[in-house]
Amino acid sequence: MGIMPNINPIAKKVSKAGKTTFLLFLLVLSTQFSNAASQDSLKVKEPKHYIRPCLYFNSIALAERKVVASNLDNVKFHQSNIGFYFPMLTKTWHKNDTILPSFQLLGTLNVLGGAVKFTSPIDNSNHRIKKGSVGLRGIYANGQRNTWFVNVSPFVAQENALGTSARTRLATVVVFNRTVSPKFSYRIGYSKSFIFGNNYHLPIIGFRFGRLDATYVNIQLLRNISVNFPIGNKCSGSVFSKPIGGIYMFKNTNSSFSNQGKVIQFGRYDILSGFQLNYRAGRNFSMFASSGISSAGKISFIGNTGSRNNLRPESPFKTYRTAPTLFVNIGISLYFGKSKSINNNYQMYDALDMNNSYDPGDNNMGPGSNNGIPNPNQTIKNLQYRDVQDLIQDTDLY
Amino acid sequence: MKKYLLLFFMFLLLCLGSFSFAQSAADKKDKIQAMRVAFITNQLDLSSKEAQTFWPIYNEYQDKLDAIREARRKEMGGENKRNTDAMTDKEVETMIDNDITLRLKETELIKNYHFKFKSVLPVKKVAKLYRAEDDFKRELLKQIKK
Repeated sequence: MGIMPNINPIAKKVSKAGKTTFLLFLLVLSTQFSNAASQDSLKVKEPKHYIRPCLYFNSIALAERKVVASNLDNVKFHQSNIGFYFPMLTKTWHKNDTILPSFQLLGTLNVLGGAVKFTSPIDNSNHRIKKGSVGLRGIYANGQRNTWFVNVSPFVAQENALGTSARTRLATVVVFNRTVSPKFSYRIGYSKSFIFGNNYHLPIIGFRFGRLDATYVNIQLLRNISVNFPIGNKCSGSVFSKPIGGIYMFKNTNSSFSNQGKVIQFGRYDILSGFQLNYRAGRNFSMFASSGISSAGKISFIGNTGSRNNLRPESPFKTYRTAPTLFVNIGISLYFGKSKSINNNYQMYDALDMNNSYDPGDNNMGPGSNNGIPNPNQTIKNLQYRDVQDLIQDTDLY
Repeated sequence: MKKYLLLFFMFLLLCLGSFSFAQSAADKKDKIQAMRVAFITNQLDLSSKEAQTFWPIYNEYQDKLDAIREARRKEMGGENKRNTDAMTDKEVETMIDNDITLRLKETELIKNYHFKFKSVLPVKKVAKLYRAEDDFKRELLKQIKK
Protein backbone atom coordinates (compact mmCIF):
# COMPACT_ATOMS: atom_id res chain seq x y z
CA MET A 1 0.00 0.00 0.00
CA GLY A 2 1.63 3.22 -1.13
CA ILE A 3 1.20 6.56 0.55
CA MET A 4 -1.16 7.85 -2.13
CA PRO A 5 1.23 9.17 -4.75
CA ASN A 6 -1.49 10.92 -6.71
CA ILE A 7 -4.15 12.20 -4.37
CA ASN A 8 -7.34 12.98 -6.21
CA PRO A 9 -10.82 13.80 -4.87
CA ILE A 10 -11.94 10.19 -4.42
CA ALA A 11 -8.76 8.89 -2.97
CA LYS A 12 -8.93 11.90 -0.67
CA LYS A 13 -12.46 10.97 0.31
CA VAL A 14 -11.46 7.42 1.24
CA SER A 15 -8.35 8.70 2.96
CA LYS A 16 -10.57 11.17 4.83
CA ALA A 17 -12.77 8.23 5.88
CA GLY A 18 -9.66 6.52 7.26
CA LYS A 19 -8.62 9.64 9.13
CA THR A 20 -12.12 10.18 10.49
CA THR A 21 -12.31 6.53 11.55
CA PHE A 22 -9.04 6.79 13.40
CA LEU A 23 -9.94 10.09 15.09
CA LEU A 24 -13.42 8.87 16.07
CA PHE A 25 -11.86 5.74 17.47
CA LEU A 26 -9.43 7.77 19.59
CA LEU A 27 -12.28 10.00 20.76
CA VAL A 28 -14.45 7.06 21.84
CA LEU A 29 -11.50 5.46 23.57
CA SER A 30 -10.45 8.60 25.42
CA THR A 31 -14.04 8.99 26.62
CA GLN A 32 -13.94 5.45 27.97
CA PHE A 33 -10.67 6.05 29.80
CA SER A 34 -11.60 9.50 31.11
CA ASN A 35 -14.89 8.09 32.43
CA ALA A 36 -12.98 5.49 34.34
CA ALA A 37 -10.50 8.02 35.66
CA SER A 38 -13.00 10.60 36.81
CA GLN A 39 -15.11 8.12 38.76
CA ASP A 40 -16.27 9.55 42.04
CA SER A 41 -15.38 7.08 44.79
CA LEU A 42 -18.89 7.04 46.27
CA LYS A 43 -20.59 6.94 42.93
CA VAL A 44 -21.41 3.32 42.37
CA LYS A 45 -20.56 2.64 38.76
CA GLU A 46 -22.00 -0.44 37.10
CA PRO A 47 -21.09 -1.54 33.61
CA LYS A 48 -23.47 0.10 31.15
CA HIS A 49 -23.28 -2.12 28.10
CA TYR A 50 -23.46 -5.80 27.17
CA ILE A 51 -21.03 -5.35 24.30
CA ARG A 52 -17.58 -3.87 24.87
CA PRO A 53 -15.87 -1.63 22.32
CA CYS A 54 -13.76 -3.80 20.06
CA LEU A 55 -10.99 -2.84 17.71
CA TYR A 56 -9.87 -5.56 15.35
CA PHE A 57 -7.43 -6.01 12.56
CA ASN A 58 -7.31 -8.82 10.06
CA SER A 59 -5.36 -9.49 6.95
CA ILE A 60 -5.83 -12.09 4.23
CA ALA A 61 -3.60 -13.06 1.34
CA LEU A 62 -4.53 -15.35 -1.51
CA ALA A 63 -1.74 -16.91 -3.55
CA GLU A 64 -1.47 -16.13 -7.24
CA ARG A 65 -3.82 -18.22 -9.38
CA LYS A 66 -4.96 -18.58 -12.93
CA VAL A 67 -7.90 -16.71 -14.32
CA VAL A 68 -9.73 -19.53 -16.10
CA ALA A 69 -10.42 -19.23 -19.86
CA SER A 70 -9.09 -15.72 -20.07
CA ASN A 71 -6.18 -13.83 -21.56
CA LEU A 72 -5.66 -12.22 -18.14
CA ASP A 73 -3.40 -15.16 -17.14
CA ASN A 74 -2.97 -14.73 -13.36
CA VAL A 75 -4.42 -12.71 -10.51
CA LYS A 76 -3.22 -12.20 -6.95
CA PHE A 77 -5.14 -10.62 -4.12
CA HIS A 78 -4.62 -9.45 -0.55
CA GLN A 79 -6.50 -7.17 1.80
CA SER A 80 -6.17 -5.78 5.33
CA ASN A 81 -9.02 -4.56 7.37
CA ILE A 82 -9.33 -2.43 10.51
CA GLY A 83 -12.73 -2.47 12.13
CA PHE A 84 -14.14 -0.96 15.26
CA TYR A 85 -17.50 -1.21 16.95
CA PHE A 86 -18.56 0.52 20.11
CA PRO A 87 -21.76 0.67 22.15
CA MET A 88 -23.47 4.06 22.03
CA LEU A 89 -26.55 3.23 24.02
CA THR A 90 -27.78 0.26 26.01
CA LYS A 91 -31.22 0.31 27.52
CA THR A 92 -32.37 -2.45 29.86
CA TRP A 93 -35.69 -2.49 31.63
CA HIS A 94 -37.75 -4.85 33.76
CA LYS A 95 -40.91 -6.28 32.28
CA ASN A 96 -43.27 -7.77 34.86
CA ASP A 97 -40.32 -7.49 37.27
CA THR A 98 -38.84 -10.76 36.02
CA ILE A 99 -37.98 -10.32 32.33
CA LEU A 100 -35.10 -8.16 31.20
CA PRO A 101 -35.49 -6.93 27.62
CA SER A 102 -32.62 -4.86 26.27
CA PHE A 103 -31.86 -2.63 23.36
CA GLN A 104 -28.35 -1.83 22.19
CA LEU A 105 -27.24 0.72 19.67
CA LEU A 106 -23.70 0.42 18.35
CA GLY A 107 -21.56 2.51 16.04
CA THR A 108 -19.31 0.77 13.55
CA LEU A 109 -16.30 1.90 11.58
CA ASN A 110 -14.27 0.03 9.04
CA VAL A 111 -11.35 0.76 6.75
CA LEU A 112 -10.10 -1.75 4.22
CA GLY A 113 -7.06 -1.56 2.00
CA GLY A 114 -6.09 -4.17 -0.54
CA ALA A 115 -4.32 -4.96 -3.77
CA VAL A 116 -5.35 -6.83 -6.93
CA LYS A 117 -2.46 -7.72 -9.20
CA PHE A 118 -2.90 -9.00 -12.76
CA THR A 119 -0.03 -10.48 -14.73
CA SER A 120 -0.66 -10.83 -18.44
CA PRO A 121 0.44 -9.15 -21.68
CA ILE A 122 -2.86 -7.26 -21.94
CA ASP A 123 -2.96 -6.16 -18.32
CA ASN A 124 0.03 -6.11 -16.04
CA SER A 125 -1.23 -3.82 -13.33
CA ASN A 126 -1.42 -3.62 -9.58
CA HIS A 127 -4.63 -2.01 -8.38
CA ARG A 128 -4.68 -0.61 -4.87
CA ILE A 129 -8.20 -0.57 -3.56
CA LYS A 130 -9.71 1.11 -0.54
CA LYS A 131 -13.00 0.94 1.20
CA GLY A 132 -14.31 2.93 4.15
CA SER A 133 -17.58 2.58 6.01
CA VAL A 134 -19.32 4.14 8.97
CA GLY A 135 -22.43 2.38 10.19
CA LEU A 136 -24.99 1.81 12.88
CA ARG A 137 -26.44 -1.34 14.31
CA GLY A 138 -29.23 -2.07 16.72
CA ILE A 139 -29.86 -5.24 18.71
CA TYR A 140 -33.11 -5.79 20.55
CA ALA A 141 -33.45 -8.82 22.81
CA ASN A 142 -36.89 -9.33 24.31
CA GLY A 143 -35.50 -10.97 27.45
CA GLN A 144 -36.93 -14.35 26.54
CA ARG A 145 -36.11 -15.98 23.19
CA ASN A 146 -36.39 -13.47 20.39
CA THR A 147 -33.63 -11.15 19.20
CA TRP A 148 -33.67 -8.69 16.31
CA PHE A 149 -30.51 -7.40 14.70
CA VAL A 150 -30.29 -4.53 12.21
CA ASN A 151 -27.11 -3.24 10.64
CA VAL A 152 -26.72 -0.37 8.19
CA SER A 153 -23.30 0.28 6.66
CA PRO A 154 -22.93 2.90 3.96
CA PHE A 155 -19.50 2.61 2.37
CA VAL A 156 -17.25 4.10 -0.26
CA ALA A 157 -15.05 1.69 -2.22
CA GLN A 158 -12.42 3.07 -4.51
CA GLU A 159 -9.11 2.56 -6.19
CA ASN A 160 -6.30 4.63 -4.77
CA ALA A 161 -5.40 6.83 -7.73
CA LEU A 162 -8.48 7.43 -9.81
CA GLY A 163 -10.11 10.48 -11.29
CA THR A 164 -13.84 9.86 -10.95
CA SER A 165 -16.54 10.78 -8.51
CA ALA A 166 -16.90 8.40 -5.59
CA ARG A 167 -19.67 5.86 -5.40
CA THR A 168 -21.35 5.39 -2.10
CA ARG A 169 -23.14 2.12 -1.57
CA LEU A 170 -25.22 0.72 1.21
CA ALA A 171 -24.98 -2.69 2.86
CA THR A 172 -27.72 -3.72 5.24
CA VAL A 173 -28.60 -6.71 7.37
CA VAL A 174 -31.88 -7.43 9.15
CA VAL A 175 -32.03 -10.68 11.11
CA PHE A 176 -34.44 -12.30 13.51
CA ASN A 177 -32.98 -14.89 15.86
CA ARG A 178 -34.93 -17.27 18.04
CA THR A 179 -33.01 -18.99 20.82
CA VAL A 180 -35.16 -22.09 21.08
CA SER A 181 -32.86 -23.59 23.72
CA PRO A 182 -29.21 -23.17 24.76
CA LYS A 183 -28.41 -25.86 22.19
CA PHE A 184 -30.47 -24.67 19.27
CA SER A 185 -31.33 -21.40 17.60
CA TYR A 186 -32.49 -20.40 14.15
CA ARG A 187 -32.26 -17.18 12.18
CA ILE A 188 -34.13 -15.71 9.28
CA GLY A 189 -33.44 -12.42 7.66
CA TYR A 190 -32.44 -10.35 4.71
CA SER A 191 -29.21 -8.70 3.65
CA LYS A 192 -28.21 -6.32 0.93
CA SER A 193 -24.64 -7.32 0.52
CA PHE A 194 -21.68 -7.06 -1.83
CA ILE A 195 -19.73 -10.06 -0.55
CA PHE A 196 -20.49 -11.94 -3.77
CA GLY A 197 -18.92 -9.17 -5.85
CA ASN A 198 -22.11 -7.39 -6.84
CA ASN A 199 -25.17 -5.77 -5.35
CA TYR A 200 -27.28 -8.73 -4.18
CA HIS A 201 -30.35 -9.06 -2.04
CA LEU A 202 -29.75 -12.23 -0.12
CA PRO A 203 -31.89 -14.21 2.27
CA ILE A 204 -30.43 -15.22 5.60
CA ILE A 205 -31.36 -18.64 6.89
CA GLY A 206 -29.40 -19.97 9.79
CA PHE A 207 -29.32 -22.79 12.30
CA ARG A 208 -27.08 -23.40 15.26
CA PHE A 209 -26.80 -26.80 16.89
CA GLY A 210 -24.91 -27.01 20.18
CA ARG A 211 -24.11 -24.46 22.88
CA LEU A 212 -22.22 -21.33 21.85
CA ASP A 213 -19.88 -21.78 24.84
CA ALA A 214 -19.09 -25.38 23.89
CA THR A 215 -18.96 -27.34 20.62
CA TYR A 216 -21.46 -26.18 18.04
CA VAL A 217 -22.33 -26.31 14.37
CA ASN A 218 -23.28 -23.01 12.82
CA ILE A 219 -25.01 -22.99 9.45
CA GLN A 220 -25.65 -19.38 8.48
CA LEU A 221 -26.58 -19.31 4.81
CA LEU A 222 -25.26 -17.59 2.72
CA ARG A 223 -22.52 -16.28 4.98
CA ASN A 224 -20.88 -18.98 6.93
CA ILE A 225 -20.93 -22.68 7.69
CA SER A 226 -18.71 -23.75 10.55
CA VAL A 227 -18.04 -26.39 13.17
CA ASN A 228 -16.61 -24.79 16.30
CA PHE A 229 -15.02 -26.49 19.25
CA PRO A 230 -13.05 -25.46 22.35
CA ILE A 231 -9.42 -26.56 22.63
CA GLY A 232 -8.47 -26.25 26.29
CA ASN A 233 -9.26 -23.10 28.27
CA LYS A 234 -7.83 -20.45 25.98
CA CYS A 235 -8.13 -21.79 22.46
CA SER A 236 -10.88 -22.81 20.14
CA GLY A 237 -10.90 -24.20 16.66
CA SER A 238 -13.23 -23.91 13.75
CA VAL A 239 -13.61 -25.66 10.41
CA PHE A 240 -15.43 -23.27 8.15
CA SER A 241 -16.55 -22.28 4.69
CA LYS A 242 -17.51 -18.70 3.85
CA PRO A 243 -17.54 -16.20 1.00
CA ILE A 244 -15.52 -12.98 1.00
CA GLY A 245 -15.62 -10.33 -1.69
CA GLY A 246 -16.63 -6.88 -2.75
CA ILE A 247 -17.04 -4.40 -5.56
CA TYR A 248 -14.62 -1.58 -6.30
CA MET A 249 -14.03 1.21 -8.79
CA PHE A 250 -11.12 0.30 -11.02
CA LYS A 251 -8.80 2.15 -13.33
CA ASN A 252 -9.22 0.45 -16.71
CA THR A 253 -5.75 -0.91 -17.45
CA ASN A 254 -6.88 -3.77 -19.64
CA SER A 255 -6.23 -3.06 -23.32
CA SER A 256 -9.01 -5.43 -24.43
CA PHE A 257 -11.58 -3.43 -22.42
CA SER A 258 -10.59 -0.10 -23.96
CA ASN A 259 -14.13 0.50 -25.24
CA GLN A 260 -15.39 0.62 -21.61
CA GLY A 261 -13.82 3.97 -20.74
CA LYS A 262 -11.10 4.92 -18.29
CA VAL A 263 -12.93 3.72 -15.21
CA ILE A 264 -14.70 0.42 -14.72
CA GLN A 265 -15.96 -1.52 -11.72
CA PHE A 266 -14.38 -4.68 -10.43
CA GLY A 267 -16.27 -7.32 -8.51
CA ARG A 268 -14.77 -10.37 -6.92
CA TYR A 269 -15.51 -13.14 -4.48
CA ASP A 270 -13.88 -16.27 -3.14
CA ILE A 271 -15.35 -19.12 -1.21
CA LEU A 272 -12.88 -19.85 1.56
CA SER A 273 -12.80 -23.23 3.26
CA GLY A 274 -10.32 -24.01 5.97
CA PHE A 275 -9.39 -24.25 9.61
CA GLN A 276 -9.24 -21.39 12.07
CA LEU A 277 -7.46 -21.39 15.41
CA ASN A 278 -8.58 -18.79 17.94
CA TYR A 279 -6.53 -17.83 20.96
CA ARG A 280 -8.21 -15.92 23.76
CA ALA A 281 -5.30 -14.45 25.69
CA GLY A 282 -7.54 -12.78 28.24
CA ARG A 283 -10.66 -10.68 28.54
CA ASN A 284 -9.11 -7.83 26.52
CA PHE A 285 -7.21 -9.55 23.78
CA SER A 286 -7.73 -12.36 21.32
CA MET A 287 -6.23 -13.42 18.03
CA PHE A 288 -6.78 -15.96 15.29
CA ALA A 289 -5.06 -17.53 12.33
CA SER A 290 -6.72 -19.47 9.59
CA SER A 291 -5.68 -21.14 6.42
CA GLY A 292 -7.19 -23.29 3.73
CA ILE A 293 -8.24 -23.24 0.15
CA SER A 294 -10.18 -20.71 -1.83
CA SER A 295 -12.39 -22.37 -4.39
CA ALA A 296 -15.22 -21.23 -6.66
CA GLY A 297 -13.73 -17.76 -6.96
CA LYS A 298 -15.01 -15.34 -9.54
CA ILE A 299 -13.98 -11.94 -10.85
CA SER A 300 -16.13 -9.67 -12.95
CA PHE A 301 -15.72 -6.39 -14.77
CA ILE A 302 -18.65 -4.00 -14.86
CA GLY A 303 -19.04 -0.87 -16.96
CA ASN A 304 -19.18 2.46 -15.20
CA THR A 305 -21.28 4.26 -17.76
CA GLY A 306 -25.03 4.68 -17.78
CA SER A 307 -27.41 5.09 -14.88
CA ARG A 308 -27.12 2.89 -11.83
CA ASN A 309 -29.92 1.26 -9.93
CA ASN A 310 -29.06 0.74 -6.29
CA LEU A 311 -31.66 -1.97 -5.95
CA ARG A 312 -30.49 -4.34 -8.69
CA PRO A 313 -27.24 -6.18 -9.33
CA GLU A 314 -25.18 -4.56 -12.07
CA SER A 315 -24.51 -6.45 -15.29
CA PRO A 316 -20.87 -7.34 -15.83
CA PHE A 317 -19.47 -7.21 -19.36
CA LYS A 318 -16.93 -9.92 -18.48
CA THR A 319 -16.94 -12.59 -15.81
CA TYR A 320 -14.20 -15.16 -15.22
CA ARG A 321 -13.73 -18.00 -12.82
CA THR A 322 -10.48 -18.14 -10.87
CA ALA A 323 -8.59 -21.34 -10.17
CA PRO A 324 -8.48 -22.69 -6.59
CA THR A 325 -5.65 -21.35 -4.45
CA LEU A 326 -4.39 -21.23 -0.89
CA PHE A 327 -5.13 -18.44 1.55
CA VAL A 328 -3.77 -17.30 4.90
CA ASN A 329 -5.76 -15.10 7.22
CA ILE A 330 -4.65 -13.62 10.55
CA GLY A 331 -6.42 -11.31 12.94
CA ILE A 332 -6.20 -9.68 16.34
CA SER A 333 -8.90 -8.08 18.46
CA LEU A 334 -8.73 -5.72 21.41
CA TYR A 335 -11.62 -5.16 23.79
CA PHE A 336 -11.99 -2.19 26.07
CA GLY A 337 -13.73 -1.47 29.35
CA LYS A 338 -16.21 -3.57 31.31
CA SER A 339 -19.47 -5.11 30.26
CA LYS A 340 -22.60 -6.34 31.97
CA SER A 341 -22.49 -10.01 32.95
CA ILE A 342 -24.23 -12.45 30.66
CA ASN A 343 -23.40 -15.77 32.34
CA ASN A 344 -25.79 -18.52 31.21
CA ASN A 345 -27.89 -15.93 29.37
CA TYR A 346 -28.10 -17.77 26.07
CA GLN A 347 -30.16 -15.12 24.36
CA MET A 348 -27.34 -12.63 24.91
CA TYR A 349 -24.85 -15.24 23.70
CA ASP A 350 -26.80 -15.29 20.42
CA ALA A 351 -26.89 -11.47 20.35
CA LEU A 352 -23.09 -11.38 20.72
CA ASP A 353 -22.70 -14.04 18.06
CA MET A 354 -24.82 -12.00 15.64
CA ASN A 355 -22.76 -8.93 16.42
CA ASN A 356 -19.62 -10.83 15.44
CA SER A 357 -21.14 -12.67 12.47
CA TYR A 358 -22.24 -9.57 10.55
CA ASP A 359 -19.09 -7.47 10.39
CA PRO A 360 -19.16 -3.67 10.18
CA GLY A 361 -17.72 -3.34 6.68
CA ASP A 362 -19.71 -6.00 4.78
CA ASN A 363 -16.47 -7.91 4.17
CA ASN A 364 -17.56 -11.06 6.03
CA MET A 365 -14.33 -10.76 7.99
CA GLY A 366 -14.98 -9.81 11.60
CA PRO A 367 -13.12 -10.10 14.88
CA GLY A 368 -12.90 -13.90 14.70
CA SER A 369 -14.13 -15.57 17.85
CA ASN A 370 -16.90 -14.70 20.30
CA ASN A 371 -14.63 -13.32 23.01
CA GLY A 372 -17.54 -11.90 25.05
CA ILE A 373 -19.14 -15.28 25.67
CA PRO A 374 -17.90 -16.59 29.03
CA ASN A 375 -15.93 -19.80 29.10
CA PRO A 376 -17.77 -22.13 31.51
CA ASN A 377 -14.81 -24.43 32.16
CA GLN A 378 -12.54 -22.22 34.21
CA THR A 379 -9.96 -23.19 36.77
CA ILE A 380 -7.82 -20.84 38.78
CA LYS A 381 -4.30 -21.08 40.09
CA ASN A 382 -2.62 -19.08 42.87
CA LEU A 383 -5.84 -17.83 44.39
CA GLN A 384 -5.15 -15.04 46.88
CA TYR A 385 -7.22 -13.13 49.42
CA ARG A 386 -7.36 -9.97 47.31
CA ASP A 387 -8.93 -11.95 44.46
CA VAL A 388 -11.93 -12.91 46.57
CA GLN A 389 -12.21 -10.05 49.06
CA ASP A 390 -15.42 -8.78 47.49
CA LEU A 391 -17.05 -12.14 48.06
CA ILE A 392 -16.04 -12.67 51.66
CA GLN A 393 -18.10 -11.41 54.58
CA ASP A 394 -17.10 -11.48 58.27
CA THR A 395 -19.54 -14.30 58.93
CA ASP A 396 -17.82 -16.56 56.40
CA LEU A 397 -14.84 -16.84 58.72
CA TYR A 398 -16.80 -18.42 61.58
CA MET B 1 -3.18 3.79 4.38
CA LYS B 2 0.37 2.85 5.37
CA LYS B 3 0.47 5.87 7.63
CA TYR B 4 -2.70 4.78 9.41
CA LEU B 5 -1.56 1.20 9.73
CA LEU B 6 1.63 2.43 11.35
CA LEU B 7 -0.32 4.66 13.73
CA PHE B 8 -2.65 1.76 14.44
CA PHE B 9 0.20 -0.59 15.32
CA MET B 10 1.86 2.01 17.53
CA PHE B 11 -1.43 2.46 19.31
CA LEU B 12 -1.85 -1.31 19.55
CA LEU B 13 1.53 -1.71 21.23
CA LEU B 14 0.63 1.03 23.69
CA CYS B 15 -2.66 -0.68 24.48
CA LEU B 16 -1.07 -4.10 24.89
CA GLY B 17 1.49 -2.63 27.27
CA SER B 18 -1.14 -1.01 29.45
CA PHE B 19 -3.45 -4.02 29.22
CA SER B 20 -0.86 -6.41 30.59
CA PHE B 21 -1.01 -4.64 33.98
CA ALA B 22 -4.77 -4.72 34.39
CA GLN B 23 -5.38 -8.00 32.61
CA SER B 24 -4.38 -10.48 35.26
CA ALA B 25 -6.62 -9.19 38.10
CA ALA B 26 -9.61 -8.70 35.80
CA ASP B 27 -9.12 -12.13 34.26
CA LYS B 28 -9.05 -13.73 37.71
CA LYS B 29 -12.26 -11.95 38.58
CA ASP B 30 -13.90 -13.24 35.40
CA LYS B 31 -12.70 -16.75 36.14
CA ILE B 32 -14.06 -16.65 39.68
CA GLN B 33 -17.38 -15.41 38.36
CA ALA B 34 -17.51 -18.22 35.78
CA MET B 35 -16.61 -20.77 38.47
CA ARG B 36 -19.30 -19.41 40.78
CA VAL B 37 -21.90 -19.62 38.01
CA ALA B 38 -20.87 -23.20 37.22
CA PHE B 39 -21.05 -24.09 40.94
CA ILE B 40 -24.51 -22.55 41.36
CA THR B 41 -25.74 -24.16 38.13
CA ASN B 42 -24.79 -27.58 39.53
CA GLN B 43 -26.43 -26.95 42.88
CA LEU B 44 -29.72 -25.42 41.72
CA ASP B 45 -30.76 -27.81 38.98
CA LEU B 46 -32.97 -25.24 37.26
CA SER B 47 -35.52 -26.08 34.60
CA SER B 48 -34.92 -24.37 31.24
CA LYS B 49 -37.77 -21.93 31.91
CA GLU B 50 -36.41 -21.08 35.37
CA ALA B 51 -32.89 -20.67 33.99
CA GLN B 52 -34.09 -18.35 31.25
CA THR B 53 -35.57 -15.86 33.72
CA PHE B 54 -33.23 -16.42 36.65
CA TRP B 55 -29.80 -15.89 35.09
CA PRO B 56 -30.35 -12.42 33.61
CA ILE B 57 -31.64 -11.22 36.99
CA TYR B 58 -28.83 -12.91 38.89
CA ASN B 59 -26.24 -11.39 36.51
CA GLU B 60 -27.74 -7.95 37.02
CA TYR B 61 -27.70 -8.48 40.80
CA GLN B 62 -24.04 -9.51 40.73
CA ASP B 63 -23.07 -6.50 38.61
CA LYS B 64 -24.75 -4.12 41.04
CA LEU B 65 -23.31 -5.90 44.08
CA ASP B 66 -19.79 -5.85 42.58
CA ALA B 67 -20.11 -2.15 41.83
CA ILE B 68 -21.11 -1.33 45.43
CA ARG B 69 -18.35 -3.48 46.90
CA GLU B 70 -15.77 -1.97 44.59
CA ALA B 71 -16.91 1.51 45.59
CA ARG B 72 -16.65 0.52 49.25
CA ARG B 73 -13.17 -0.82 48.79
CA LYS B 74 -12.10 2.36 47.02
CA GLU B 75 -13.71 4.49 49.73
CA MET B 76 -11.67 2.73 52.41
CA GLY B 77 -8.46 3.07 50.40
CA GLY B 78 -8.22 -0.32 48.75
CA GLU B 79 -5.60 -2.77 49.93
CA ASN B 80 -3.57 -0.09 51.64
CA LYS B 81 -6.11 1.02 54.21
CA ARG B 82 -6.15 4.75 54.74
CA ASN B 83 -4.13 5.97 57.70
CA THR B 84 -6.82 7.70 59.75
CA ASP B 85 -4.20 9.26 62.04
CA ALA B 86 -2.91 11.29 59.11
CA MET B 87 -6.39 12.44 58.12
CA THR B 88 -8.47 15.30 59.49
CA ASP B 89 -11.56 14.50 61.56
CA LYS B 90 -13.72 15.78 58.70
CA GLU B 91 -12.07 13.45 56.20
CA VAL B 92 -12.40 10.47 58.50
CA GLU B 93 -16.04 11.28 59.17
CA THR B 94 -16.81 11.51 55.43
CA MET B 95 -15.02 8.23 54.81
CA ILE B 96 -16.87 6.22 57.47
CA ASP B 97 -20.21 7.87 56.68
CA ASN B 98 -19.76 6.93 53.03
CA ASP B 99 -18.88 3.41 54.04
CA ILE B 100 -22.08 3.08 56.05
CA THR B 101 -24.10 4.55 53.17
CA LEU B 102 -22.65 1.94 50.83
CA ARG B 103 -23.30 -0.87 53.30
CA LEU B 104 -26.93 0.25 53.50
CA LYS B 105 -27.11 0.34 49.70
CA GLU B 106 -25.78 -3.20 49.62
CA THR B 107 -28.37 -4.42 52.12
CA GLU B 108 -31.15 -2.65 50.21
CA LEU B 109 -29.97 -4.31 46.99
CA ILE B 110 -29.89 -7.76 48.58
CA LYS B 111 -33.43 -7.21 49.89
CA ASN B 112 -34.76 -6.05 46.48
CA TYR B 113 -33.26 -8.95 44.61
CA HIS B 114 -34.39 -11.41 47.25
CA PHE B 115 -37.96 -10.53 46.18
CA LYS B 116 -37.04 -10.83 42.50
CA PHE B 117 -35.48 -14.26 43.05
CA LYS B 118 -38.61 -15.38 44.89
CA SER B 119 -40.75 -14.31 41.96
CA VAL B 120 -38.78 -16.39 39.43
CA LEU B 121 -37.80 -19.42 41.53
CA PRO B 122 -39.56 -21.63 44.08
CA VAL B 123 -38.60 -20.52 47.57
CA LYS B 124 -36.65 -23.75 48.26
CA LYS B 125 -34.45 -23.02 45.26
CA VAL B 126 -33.85 -19.49 46.51
CA ALA B 127 -32.67 -20.99 49.79
CA LYS B 128 -30.47 -23.38 47.81
CA LEU B 129 -29.04 -20.41 45.91
CA TYR B 130 -27.96 -18.68 49.12
CA ARG B 131 -26.52 -21.94 50.43
CA ALA B 132 -24.66 -22.47 47.15
CA GLU B 133 -23.19 -18.96 47.29
CA ASP B 134 -21.96 -19.63 50.83
CA ASP B 135 -20.56 -23.03 49.91
CA PHE B 136 -18.74 -21.53 46.95
CA LYS B 137 -17.10 -18.92 49.17
CA ARG B 138 -16.03 -21.63 51.58
CA GLU B 139 -14.52 -23.56 48.68
CA LEU B 140 -12.55 -20.49 47.71
CA LEU B 141 -11.37 -19.96 51.28
CA LYS B 142 -10.24 -23.58 51.39
CA GLN B 143 -8.24 -23.03 48.22
CA ILE B 144 -6.59 -19.93 49.69
CA LYS B 145 -5.66 -21.82 52.88
CA LYS B 146 -3.95 -24.49 50.74
